[in-house]
Amino acid sequence: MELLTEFPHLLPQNRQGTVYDGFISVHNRHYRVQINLHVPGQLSEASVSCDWKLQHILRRYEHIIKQRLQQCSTLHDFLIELRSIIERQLEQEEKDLGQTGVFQVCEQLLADLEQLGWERLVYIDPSFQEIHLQLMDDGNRKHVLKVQLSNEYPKEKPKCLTELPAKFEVHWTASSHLQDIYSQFHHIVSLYQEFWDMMEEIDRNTWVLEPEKPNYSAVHRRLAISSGASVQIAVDPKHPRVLPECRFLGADQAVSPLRESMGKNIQFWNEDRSLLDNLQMLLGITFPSPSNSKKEDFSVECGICYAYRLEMEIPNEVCNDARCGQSYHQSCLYEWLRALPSSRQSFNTIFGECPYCEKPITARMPMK
Amino acid sequence: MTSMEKRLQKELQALTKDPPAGVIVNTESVSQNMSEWIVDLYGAPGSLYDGEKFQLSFKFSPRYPFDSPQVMFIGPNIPVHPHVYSNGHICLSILTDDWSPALSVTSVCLSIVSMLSSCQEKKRPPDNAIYVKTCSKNPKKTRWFYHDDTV
Repeated sequence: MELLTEFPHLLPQNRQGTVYDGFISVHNRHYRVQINLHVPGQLSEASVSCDWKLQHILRRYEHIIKQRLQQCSTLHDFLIELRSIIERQLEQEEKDLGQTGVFQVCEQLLADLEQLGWERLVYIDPSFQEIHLQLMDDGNRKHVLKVQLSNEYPKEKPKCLTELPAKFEVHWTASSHLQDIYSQFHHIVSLYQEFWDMMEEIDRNTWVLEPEKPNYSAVHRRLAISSGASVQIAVDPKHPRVLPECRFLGADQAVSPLRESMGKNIQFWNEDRSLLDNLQMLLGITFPSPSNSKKEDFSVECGICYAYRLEMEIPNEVCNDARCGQSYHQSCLYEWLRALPSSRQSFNTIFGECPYCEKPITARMPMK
Repeated sequence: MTSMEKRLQKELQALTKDPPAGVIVNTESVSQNMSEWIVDLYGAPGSLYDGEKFQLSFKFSPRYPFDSPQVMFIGPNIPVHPHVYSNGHICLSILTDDWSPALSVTSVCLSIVSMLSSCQEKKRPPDNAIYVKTCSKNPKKTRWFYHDDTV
């Protein structure tokens, strides 16, 4: 009875209960099994035969099955052992199948790359998980698309790393391929052509103090105007000819004429002209450029640490006294002023004296 | 390199390239340890110390230039001066209370040379005997009273 509840598809074929025929079920799959005990109740003499699928699964377990036949006292116990052997083997096979999944990914990938053109591939890691593809745009700029693949490619959406001024969102369906990402990337890159044209003109013709090495994703630029003044602009990559957000940095007497001329000239901003032209018109200046000056003239060192670059920082605080005009890193000046008993702090600003000329100076608390 | 070492490196470069009169940095001492310098100082011509050679020791904490350097005379010849104790300690306000990161090794040396040059009479500070017996090794630990601006 026990046998019938546990293995309902395996039925005795004679009255003595020596011959059984039917199916054994594992993971919802059914395998045909015949068992002949020869002597009733005597398992050790029994012979087991099965269909080819099960034979294949059990091909390496023959001796274990024979052993189990010797050990088990009832047919029921033996069948439970047999079933667990089958289960184990099936799990093992599934794992092995996962391994072959990698090969399928590789095969698919090679086919994709074949279609895309090998000349676009700049890097592939040995495990075929990361691919770098290059793209030359209309302005002859080289862009690199970094794709990270999972074992589930092309079922799963790959991760993409790009140098674009905005996030690159890939549209991915189950039937998508590498080529689809590439063409989407191509499309996005073509949208930003004007932005990069404008930025390149600026980078070529001015001294960019920040970022140190602007990449294609950088929408900010800090441009040197004089040794004590600079302007930081934030350009909208979708509308690069529109008036950008401008922030002036430097001593009051250097910055206030710039603010004035900005207020006066803002009405003449003309989106048909380039960003650089418009900025120069707006501020009433010509930016010092690599053709007529040295960068050292504008990268003025901090009066405290004597360096220009302090980690990511460049000197941002300036003494407003026209005869002094000393520059400091925000964090250096703050560090000095906060230790002095004569300094006074209000919210995140500290008021003290310029270490050089002893005229009043303020420093904002650095953001950590 | 730390920010302190970077600044000292630049100061050293400037001082060796373009040294003020009577100030010579001992580069050998510096090459071993960036935080301890020895500077040779020569008495200014025409002053009471004309022809004399002194040695200054500079010790920099990792917080330099936020902290002032520890500066004192060392070696066999300690100048006899109303602001210099016989153990080498110097009573000079820019070395403690009036220190500013705008100052440097060069400006400290120049201040000391000028302090020596303006001296009218070679004599030790009046409290020399008691100070030398009771003071700390580090002159920065002394509570200085800067009472005399004339010398």
